[in-house]
Amino acid sequence: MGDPLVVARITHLIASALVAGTILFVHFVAEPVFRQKSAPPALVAWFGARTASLVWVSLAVALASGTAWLLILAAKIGGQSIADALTTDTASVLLTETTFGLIWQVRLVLAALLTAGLLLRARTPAGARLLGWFAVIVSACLVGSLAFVGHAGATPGSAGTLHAAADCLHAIAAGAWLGGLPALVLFIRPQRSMSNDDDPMIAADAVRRFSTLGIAAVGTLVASGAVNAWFLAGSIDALIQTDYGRLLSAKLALFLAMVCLAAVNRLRLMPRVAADNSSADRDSHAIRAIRRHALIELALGLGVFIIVGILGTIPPGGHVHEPGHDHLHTD
Amino acid sequence: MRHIFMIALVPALVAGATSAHAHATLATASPAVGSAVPTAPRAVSLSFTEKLEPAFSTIQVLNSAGARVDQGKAQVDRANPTVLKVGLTPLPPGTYKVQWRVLSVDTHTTEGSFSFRVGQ
Repeated sequence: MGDPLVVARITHLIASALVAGTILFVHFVAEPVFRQKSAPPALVAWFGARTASLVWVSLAVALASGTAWLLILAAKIGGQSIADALTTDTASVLLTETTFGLIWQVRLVLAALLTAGLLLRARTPAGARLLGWFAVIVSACLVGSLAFVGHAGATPGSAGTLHAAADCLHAIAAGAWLGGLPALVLFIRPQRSMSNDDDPMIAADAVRRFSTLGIAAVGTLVASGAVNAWFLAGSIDALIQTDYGRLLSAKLALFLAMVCLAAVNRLRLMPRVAADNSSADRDSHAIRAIRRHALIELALGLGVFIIVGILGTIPPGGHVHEPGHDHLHTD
Repeated sequence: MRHIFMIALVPALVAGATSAHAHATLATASPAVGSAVPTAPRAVSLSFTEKLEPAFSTIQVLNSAGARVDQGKAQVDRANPTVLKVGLTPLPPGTYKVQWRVLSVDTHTTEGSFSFRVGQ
């Protein structure tokens, strides 16, 4: 945790997920709701400004933490200080001659494309739709490409291709769900201060759409995890016996807790939102409970990202060793 | 019901991900680890469990006096990026130490060493 490389990785993962999750939320949840429910312009403007800030700040943090990741990794590989890694060739060789560096460059281009797409203002509704889809696709690629700098990129052969594809979907699904939670919390928040009769239903519709997105995300997370399971077997022991396994178990426990909260939202609270609304209870209890649950999910999701960031840098279960120790598998 | 089904799937999910984060470890070596070979090999070839980064993967072969007997830069096999090779100068009989240090594509460095013997 105190390792600067781990901090940079965690920060980068969270920032990338926030970029994609917020953009996906705006495109697949907020905008359809606004269109259908003829939302008050003040609400649309308020939400648009908040989510835009969230995306810009996240993009800036992703760029800074991505740069830190590259430099700290170069220093680590070269056994040097960051300054030495820059003045000797280590950082530039890492950037130009390795897969990590190649993916890093591709992702920088994606970030630049996304920035351009977000800055452009469409003159026609068709143009706006096109720009919306462009942002969705580029931001999904930005978070999905993280899979290729991980372990999946190192798996040999055609199995590696499948492994990387599964991990790519895993990252996009995680980004869509966890990264979209802050936008959901923002979306639900202003409802009480607004004075439009449709407000509780606007929030309820958003929750319903996000929940559908979440089911797709959870399904993808489970399926891509199952692909991993198909590749490798027989390491249940390592789950309990190694730090790596214990961390992974903790991650799965957090994931399960999040799925349970999301299920409660979907199956119990959402039907009650409609009931609350018809009984003229403007300050919907169910909506507030959903928002509370989203905040808890957000905290749990933060834990998931922290664990993922640490997992990528420690030896896996069954491969714990002292520095300099021989890694010999003498079959 | 759908959620219960998902929860049931989770252990399988965990099992998969646990060993997925493998670092590059030495799978096979030629000459083999700790082996004695009758004739001098022309190269040392190491096969790893993961794809390697050529820019940061090295092999050094030392004789019993500690002098290098390899031909310098190790090459990653183009057809099979998990294999790292280095040429050798003609080796007289004796014991040689192979020191390797590799960066796998997932940016983890691992290192190790072993010996082999040429002749009796």
